[in-house]
Amino acid sequence: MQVKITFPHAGEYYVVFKDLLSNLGYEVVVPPPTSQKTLDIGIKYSPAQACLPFKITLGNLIEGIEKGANVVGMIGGKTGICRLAYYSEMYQKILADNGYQVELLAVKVKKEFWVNVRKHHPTLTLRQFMKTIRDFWQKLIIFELIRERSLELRPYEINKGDCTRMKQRFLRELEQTSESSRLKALKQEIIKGFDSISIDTKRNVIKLGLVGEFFLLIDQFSTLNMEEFLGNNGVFLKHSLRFSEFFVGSLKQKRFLDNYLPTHNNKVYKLAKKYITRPIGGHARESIGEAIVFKQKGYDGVIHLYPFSCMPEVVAGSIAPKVSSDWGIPILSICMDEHTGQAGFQTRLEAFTDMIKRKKYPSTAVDYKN
Amino acid sequence: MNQYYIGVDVGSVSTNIVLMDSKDNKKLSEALYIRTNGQPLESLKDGFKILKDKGYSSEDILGVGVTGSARVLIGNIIGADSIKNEITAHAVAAIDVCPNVKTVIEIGGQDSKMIILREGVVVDFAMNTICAAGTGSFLDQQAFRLNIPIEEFGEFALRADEPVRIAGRCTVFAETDMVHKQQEGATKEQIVAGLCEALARNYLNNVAKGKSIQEPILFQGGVAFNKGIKNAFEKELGVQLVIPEHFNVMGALGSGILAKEAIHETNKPTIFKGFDIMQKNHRLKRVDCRDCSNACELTEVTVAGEIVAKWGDRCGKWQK
Repeated sequence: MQVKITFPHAGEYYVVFKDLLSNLGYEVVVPPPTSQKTLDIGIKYSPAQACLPFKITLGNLIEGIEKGANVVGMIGGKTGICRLAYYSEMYQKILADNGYQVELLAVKVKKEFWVNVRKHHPTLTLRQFMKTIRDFWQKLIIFELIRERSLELRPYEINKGDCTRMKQRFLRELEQTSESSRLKALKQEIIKGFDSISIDTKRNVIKLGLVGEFFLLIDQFSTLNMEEFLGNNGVFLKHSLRFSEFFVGSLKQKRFLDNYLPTHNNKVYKLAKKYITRPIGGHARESIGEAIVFKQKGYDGVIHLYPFSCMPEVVAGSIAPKVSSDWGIPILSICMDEHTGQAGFQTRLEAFTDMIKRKKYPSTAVDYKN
Repeated sequence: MNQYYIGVDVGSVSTNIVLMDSKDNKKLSEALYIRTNGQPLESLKDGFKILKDKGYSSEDILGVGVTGSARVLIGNIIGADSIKNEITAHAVAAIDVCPNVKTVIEIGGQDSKMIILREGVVVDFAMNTICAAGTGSFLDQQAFRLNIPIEEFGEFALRADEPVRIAGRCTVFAETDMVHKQQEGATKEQIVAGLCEALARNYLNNVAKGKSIQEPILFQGGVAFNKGIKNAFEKELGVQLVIPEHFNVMGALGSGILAKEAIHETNKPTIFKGFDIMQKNHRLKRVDCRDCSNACELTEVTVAGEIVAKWGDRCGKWQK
């Protein structure tokens, strides 16, 4: 039987994951972009109390399976202390109950991944496997460069939409580039491309950090295109966690190092210790610690995003007001659920950025239209 | 010859319009409070018609500001000089009325807000999150259920000798609790007073969440009309609440002030399209832009056959 694999969307990251899987020899079925229909499917088959990321990703998988996939790739697999660890089991059970007979493949940096891929592709050598992983890693880093540059430059761009267009152009190129020798040159082109965008550096821009549930920080469907909305409102955005960091975050060796060596995460845990002493699942501890790191780096505020019913982040959200007053950094906690109306969400974001702008630039003009 | 700034607040329950004297923010020539009834365009049309019938001319309008949940839609149609969120609008109005205000409690139809200010600058704010318990709509529904006109709700609460305890976290459970208390023999007055206390408690737990509430406190929004709620807050907090003269149109007043600021700062004439724009035939259409792979969903407004506004694009090409 031909092995066709599909996997859930997470923002535009399919560009890199598609490549990883096809280089390993799979035929890849990319699900259609996340839409209202995806969410509707997800809601229909999910338990009501499941969180938004679960519903969206399940919708993605079903749409992918209906396009012909018979294997489902679950990024991260059974890791984490929160419900995420349980999700792959849930997917399998829900899919089977509804007549979708598929196999589950955990995509992660573990030996288990190699063993399972080898079952599908017995001729694959370890050398080829390692090379594919290395190429994937290189591509992931480039992907993040594109994403970060567009977030940093958007508030300054003179022609609205330049950053978005540039990002899309390079993502397309990255998607089409498969030989690793081209990647280095592409990286240089990306740096040059973004530098060529005409910017106005005199604008009253504020810097906000993003913390919270990992999927929501990436997926622009569930956060109603928050990145562009904020960028166009004069906000320089920075994520606390990169996908690449998330991907290796479950490695035992890395966790060990973070506990004892002065790594970035070690610093984050130490800062969070006053509020959360031990991991409670998800990125609750990181959300608190990273918010303080953003303050130390001179950011003007922090946005904390979490899905409704996400236990770890609800805990972090309840601690946020205390952190905010202890450290003097405004924190906006926003809970996302199935609502797709933008008005209420944007009102909160706009009021938050307005508040910070009026504090930071009291005497200068504020945009009256946004 | 008097000249004016217009402030419009198009909310879920009411559409408010104020006509502010160009020289004195405190002098409101008109303050209209119209029920939105789910139709923001219609309610604004009525409001503009009232203003026109009273003899105001579009030429005397120096600037227009819009706020409220339908602000982008309305602002694009009528030509607004300032389109701003409700928090900023309410804060600006509160500072104008009481320059040393430290806390603003605003309870509207769907939203309830708390704004913390220090020295005339917003330093913190909070809004209710997913649940609508603790907002005006909840009281509206319960008043309907008890067959009390919402205007008399506050009076009822004040008449109660001892309020009954009603669970206020969720409106559905509050309703159940209320029915049970009724069956246990509580009077209408006691129930109404209980509801007021439940709302105040819910607000302080879910919106204020331990923020430092310092005097002077302004209580604004439609719910401020309800003396029972004011009483409940004062009892719970142990402080006095100040209800500004124009408590129910503070958002509109704030957006009028913002329009004035915008006109002064940009030094450009207003882009207001006149009162008549609302009387013409409107058509709203959702169109998909196919010019690039973004496939943005645009909102297109046609007035009398002519496209007057188009927005929703990510590149800015259609927003002129």
